[in-house]
Amino acid sequence: MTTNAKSSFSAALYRDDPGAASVAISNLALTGDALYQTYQAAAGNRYWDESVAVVVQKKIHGGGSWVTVTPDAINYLRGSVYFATPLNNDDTIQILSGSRRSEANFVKIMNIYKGQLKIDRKTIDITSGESAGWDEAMAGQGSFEYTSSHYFYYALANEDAGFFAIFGVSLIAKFYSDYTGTKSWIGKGQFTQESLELMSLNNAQSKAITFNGTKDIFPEM
Amino acid sequence: MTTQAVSGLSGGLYIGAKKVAEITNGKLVVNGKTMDCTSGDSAGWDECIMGRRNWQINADFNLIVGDTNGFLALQAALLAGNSVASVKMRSTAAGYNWSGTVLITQEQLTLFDLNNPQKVSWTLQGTSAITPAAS
Repeated sequence: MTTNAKSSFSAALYRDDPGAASVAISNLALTGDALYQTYQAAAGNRYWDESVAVVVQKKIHGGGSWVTVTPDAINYLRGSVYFATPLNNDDTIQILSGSRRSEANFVKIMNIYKGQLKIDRKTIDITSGESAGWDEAMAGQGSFEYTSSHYFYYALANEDAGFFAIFGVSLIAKFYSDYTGTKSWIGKGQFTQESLELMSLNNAQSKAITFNGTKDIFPEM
Repeated sequence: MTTQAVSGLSGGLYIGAKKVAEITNGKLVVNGKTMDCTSGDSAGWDECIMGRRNWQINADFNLIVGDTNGFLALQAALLAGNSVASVKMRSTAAGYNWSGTVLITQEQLTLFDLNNPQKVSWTLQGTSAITPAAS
């Protein structure tokens, strides 16, 4: 069998630019899942801006007038809404209004030579006298963290020079396994560390950065 | 005597009958904790009885994002906090194996490494017993 392994040269790291304005959403159709519970926007219309509440509307059996509804949950990052009670298979859902972050404004973090994304989930011990001598556990809290190393180049627009402007600011970051094939993980969080190596006789100047995720991470495969 | 050693190339991680693609190394560790029962009647030697047991799988793979039954299944379980049943570490494709239910406690993605392909490393924590079988 031929390997399907990928080289790192297809990978990329992008972050949102909090200084860029959000883009308005209007009459955006959502596509339902097989259970008619989760309805999601197509790629390119996700990453909704949490500071602007979305207005969700439904057409029963796809006909008549749009009626404003309140979903049981809204995932702004995924651009999706969730209904605990399944809808009819021919109901249609749209976002009447809202706002989204534009990928066109995402900034590539350049000169990377090493990078790692770690997704963790803690376990909660539930071992008891009924466990027949083997540890039993249930899933606990999840978290994610991204660390990478880059060669330092101060003149890069919006990048090293602008890093302090986004340090500790809540923003979206997108980690690509394959930038051209758009295989990626997207999450919200903060850059919590920048470590600069500015003096070394044998190495170029470099920096290491850490991005701490908040809430869930969303694979777009 | 001719060795009966098994090449490391023949092992693999499976979910049911489906193999997780492109493993590069994997390790199953089964631990047993002991309870110290040493007393004045132990004639100067530690005494213990068996306590709780647990197991864990650590495995590294080439990152294959299109591996629906392997990579994507494990990642979906991690993100949802679901357990994965019938996880098997196999010595050979049809030979000795160990199986049980796991919770996935870590996915580590190496997306940038100039000298190696993209990699994913998994930590799978067993919950309840692990069962060895001959085939």
